[in-house]
Amino acid sequence: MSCIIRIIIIIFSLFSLNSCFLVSESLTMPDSWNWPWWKARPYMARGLPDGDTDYHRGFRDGCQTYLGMVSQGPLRNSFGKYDGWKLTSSSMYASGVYDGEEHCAYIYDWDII
Amino acid sequence: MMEKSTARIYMTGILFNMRNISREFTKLLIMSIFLLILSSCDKISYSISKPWLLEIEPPPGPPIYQAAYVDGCSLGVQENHHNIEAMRNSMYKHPVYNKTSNLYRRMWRSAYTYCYLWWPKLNRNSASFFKPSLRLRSKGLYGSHKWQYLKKSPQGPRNFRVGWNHGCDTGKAATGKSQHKIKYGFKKDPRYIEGDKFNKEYEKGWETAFWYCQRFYDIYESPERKRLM
Repeated sequence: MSCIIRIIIIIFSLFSLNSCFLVSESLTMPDSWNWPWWKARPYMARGLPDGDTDYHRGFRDGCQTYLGMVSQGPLRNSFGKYDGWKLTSSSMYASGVYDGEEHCAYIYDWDII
Repeated sequence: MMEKSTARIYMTGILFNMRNISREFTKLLIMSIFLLILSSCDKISYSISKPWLLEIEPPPGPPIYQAAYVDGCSLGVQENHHNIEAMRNSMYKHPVYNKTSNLYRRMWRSAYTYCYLWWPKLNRNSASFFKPSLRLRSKGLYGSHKWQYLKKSPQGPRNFRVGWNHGCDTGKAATGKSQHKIKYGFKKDPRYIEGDKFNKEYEKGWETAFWYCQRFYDIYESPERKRLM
């Protein structure tokens, strides 16, 4: 009987360990963002795309630009960087920029239009 | 011989002086109250000046461009529950142009957004005469990247940069205070119309900058959102 209880406890523990993934995701940034360890990171910003396509690059640029605008504290130092050449030539980059802007703005500011 | 007392005369002098002092004091008090009352003119000037500054008249350009501006702006103003404008209930969208003309649709949307955003800022600004803001506006520090984007476009094609400047000026006018509304206004240059649409690069720059500058000023200028700074 005690063996069954142990197994159940172990299974439940394994389930609860699953949530550590969410914690690590909320504390680290995707690799492709090249986010320095000393730099503040957006609070609870999970699910940021990791990749190196035009869309991902656009997402990063849009997100960083808007983080500098709507966030507080050291994150305000996130400098905006738009690439006008890509914005006009690559529709994927443009989509990424607009998605990144929206996504990261609304993490902090729900009232923004 | 009895000496004549000067006490009465002396007292009268004090009373006379006190009366003078109290008169001066009353004047000062009245003036101070008037100044306090005058400070509310700041609010009045906003509520008077803002609607007058909104350009309901379309900018010069082709007829479809102008029609789209008038339609979009009329609906934007009306939908924002302004008491007077909201009395006119109808949809301002030309059914034929809206289906057939891309230029009409794009221009309508720009004008609608501009005028829609223009009105809610009416009562946002509190009286500022006795409330100087001593806050360090770190978000708007000169020389920062954020500030540069308000003044100068990012690198890109020429049309993109022109579109950026025009879009940013429009965004500032939509959300800024009266001084911004006087200085800036709706700017979307009809010279960049190509066929039935705006130049792609110009349009991209305009859209991106409009939202960037509008949102920047939304946080920068509105009292209830300054907590974000």
